Amino acid sequence: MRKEPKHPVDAVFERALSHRTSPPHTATWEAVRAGQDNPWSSTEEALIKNLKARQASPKPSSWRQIEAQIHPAKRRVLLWYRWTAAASVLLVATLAWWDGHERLDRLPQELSTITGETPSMDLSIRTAEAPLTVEPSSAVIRQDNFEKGLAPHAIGSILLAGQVRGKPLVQWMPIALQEIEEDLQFVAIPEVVKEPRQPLEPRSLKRRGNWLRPTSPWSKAITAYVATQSARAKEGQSLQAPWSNYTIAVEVKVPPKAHSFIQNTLTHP
Amino acid sequence: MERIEDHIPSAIQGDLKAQKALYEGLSPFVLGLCQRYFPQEDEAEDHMIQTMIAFFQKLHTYRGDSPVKFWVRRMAINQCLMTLRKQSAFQQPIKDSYISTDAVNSSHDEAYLLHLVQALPVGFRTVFNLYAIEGFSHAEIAESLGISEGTSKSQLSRARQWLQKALQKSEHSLR
Repeated sequence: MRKEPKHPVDAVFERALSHRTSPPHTATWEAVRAGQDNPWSSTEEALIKNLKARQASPKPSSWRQIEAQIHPAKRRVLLWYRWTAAASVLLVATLAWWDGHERLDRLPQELSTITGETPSMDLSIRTAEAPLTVEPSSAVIRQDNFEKGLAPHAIGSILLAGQVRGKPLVQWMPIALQEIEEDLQFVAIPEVVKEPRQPLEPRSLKRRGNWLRPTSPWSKAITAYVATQSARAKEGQSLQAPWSNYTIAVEVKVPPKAHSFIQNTLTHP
Repeated sequence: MERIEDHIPSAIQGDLKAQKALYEGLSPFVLGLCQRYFPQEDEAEDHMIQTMIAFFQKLHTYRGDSPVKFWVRRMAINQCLMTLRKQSAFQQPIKDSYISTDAVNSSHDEAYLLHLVQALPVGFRTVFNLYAIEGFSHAEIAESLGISEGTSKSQLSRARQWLQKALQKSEHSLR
């Protein structure tokens, strides 16, 4: 076979490239070794063993997500309960608001003030329907309350119109405590308050609900009176009755439902 | 001693307690596996959840011829690979400059070793996990990932090289 002469261009490329060498990529040899049975080094084996055995604690919320997916029926029931509960709360709140407004509408717009002179202290109770008048049989101060160091609002010594089931009917507590009505309010306001000879600063009273506010003139008078009497009791002196010095007016807001109850329990002596 | 497989019949019947027992027995293992493929904690947790949902949905097909742990392991791997395939993670070119050993610190505890694997480029990491830890052959890996066997070998080799460098570096830093 006759050998044809090489084209000059081909000859140039042959001369330039036929002996050229190039270093392989660094990982090529590793790849060749990997193609054979290249055993793991001890470090690698330790790494692999460690990773194989590794476990991790999932978040607590993960189970809830899975549970919701695998129990769609339960999910629907839960959703139904949630919506029902939310709707019930809204309904109850609406009804309570509506009922409250109804009750307020039934109450008198303006409270009446009826006064009386002590010691024949006159307690009048006015309701939306008709006024009720009761007269207390006595007004006494119980010394044991002072000894116990009770707060003025718990003086419990002003006994009006006898007792109901063995308990004082009014002792500067709301009548609600007598389990008549939860929303029964009792407010006492003095019409005339005579200042003591030596005015005393009223002690702070813990506010209990919306009754007997310590800022009211009555509370201040009572506080001053109790302070005076406490000092007297400590000194071994006798207590002074306050009633000749004060005119007391009492206002009681009574829901109509409680009207008959009060009429039956607040009896004339 | 109670085996985890004992809960399977009740779990298939929908017994919540048995399902919870299975979950508590398997989820740490599944999460540990997912964390090797996904460095992000939330991503790993998501894959664990998806795996466990698939596990409960397919539990009735479990024949019991192998431990349930192997069964769920296969599911978890498939779940992870499915995401990685969607992300075309193996098609991205990998350059040597991409490999960094900055993640190396000075202890060889479990968290550190996991961190090393997680710091690998995604292709290296996946092949290393499948070959070294899950025990797949290069042919299986190539089929699973849609790459050639040669690529699988090459990626494994480079992953090993990177890991060895990182381990050496940390040993130096310990001295």
